[in-house]
Amino acid sequence: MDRDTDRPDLFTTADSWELADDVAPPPTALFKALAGPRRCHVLSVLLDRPEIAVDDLTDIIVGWQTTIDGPAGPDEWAQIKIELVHAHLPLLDDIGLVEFDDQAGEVRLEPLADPVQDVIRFAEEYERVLDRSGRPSE
Amino acid sequence: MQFHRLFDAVDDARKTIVVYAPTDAGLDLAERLSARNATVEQRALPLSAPGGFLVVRDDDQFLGALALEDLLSFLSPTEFLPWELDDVDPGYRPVVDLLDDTLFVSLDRRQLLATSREIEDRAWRVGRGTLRVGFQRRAAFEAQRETYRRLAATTDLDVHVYLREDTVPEAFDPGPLTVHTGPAETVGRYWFLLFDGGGNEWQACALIAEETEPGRYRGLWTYDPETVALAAESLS
Repeated sequence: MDRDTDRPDLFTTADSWELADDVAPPPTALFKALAGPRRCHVLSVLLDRPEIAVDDLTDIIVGWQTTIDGPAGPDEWAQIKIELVHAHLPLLDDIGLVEFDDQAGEVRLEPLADPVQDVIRFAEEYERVLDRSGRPSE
Repeated sequence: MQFHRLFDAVDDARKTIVVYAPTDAGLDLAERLSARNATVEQRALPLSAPGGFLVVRDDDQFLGALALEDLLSFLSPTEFLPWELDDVDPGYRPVVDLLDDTLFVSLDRRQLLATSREIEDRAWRVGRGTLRVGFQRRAAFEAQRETYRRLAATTDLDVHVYLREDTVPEAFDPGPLTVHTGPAETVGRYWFLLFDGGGNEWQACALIAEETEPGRYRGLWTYDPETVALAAESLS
């Protein structure tokens, strides 16, 4: 069996990385984008649903949080939406990972280079591993 | 008796529940929830997300969200029973609020009995107001007769009992109970208890269950004073 197919398909190998014309911010900017679980979650969601209304995104982020903190109501929802709209999405937009249209209430993921997608998946996976082992993930 | 109108009204106010679950894990749950007063949609979740959750919306309004794991333990009759809704962990308050307006759920006799005891107990503790109880079968009434007489005799509760006209015992002495009779096709169909709260609307509660097949009930139980009042009106 080919060694490459033995690997979990989570990561591509550096040899196969193609940046093409896709978005690939400098490391400092990329890691700033990933600093903070909220933004990691946002990026993970966008990898699956590259275009999403901010309200739907907020639903998912709030829901995600309930698997850790228990049930959430409209107050938590409003709080998280404010965070997304005023902090996280503008920052991700500045770095060039997403296009955030505040007026229309929509977010679109820019075409990300493979290694950028890998790093996002890695960050999410790493948080899960920490979580599973009972270590602090924040 | 126009309970079906109440059921219809509840039906009009359907909420939307979006189940986000990795793979098909949420399908079974979606099926269980569809028995409730809600439209259920299922959406995939990023594989990296830790577990499923659901989001409840009413029109375009976010009402609440909770983890599937929490919902399953909440729905499990061994962990929570309806009368414990007041005492549940405050973390569950949003769940209760979500389901509280009107719980529309498939129940078996054991759960109905448990819920009935809770409503009787609540009425007894308040000690005033009106308690209305409908019995589908004569035997069910006979079994509870003394309890209800005592309830009416030892408190200021006004206890109304609804019986099928063809099952009222001969030479029946209602004592402190007010007895109403109705045709089998209405009274015989429902198992119900309505307590108006005795002036305290926080204590109002109702259980109305319709037997859909022998031993299985489609029920509505609520702590919403308006729904309780509507149910009482539909009895007259």
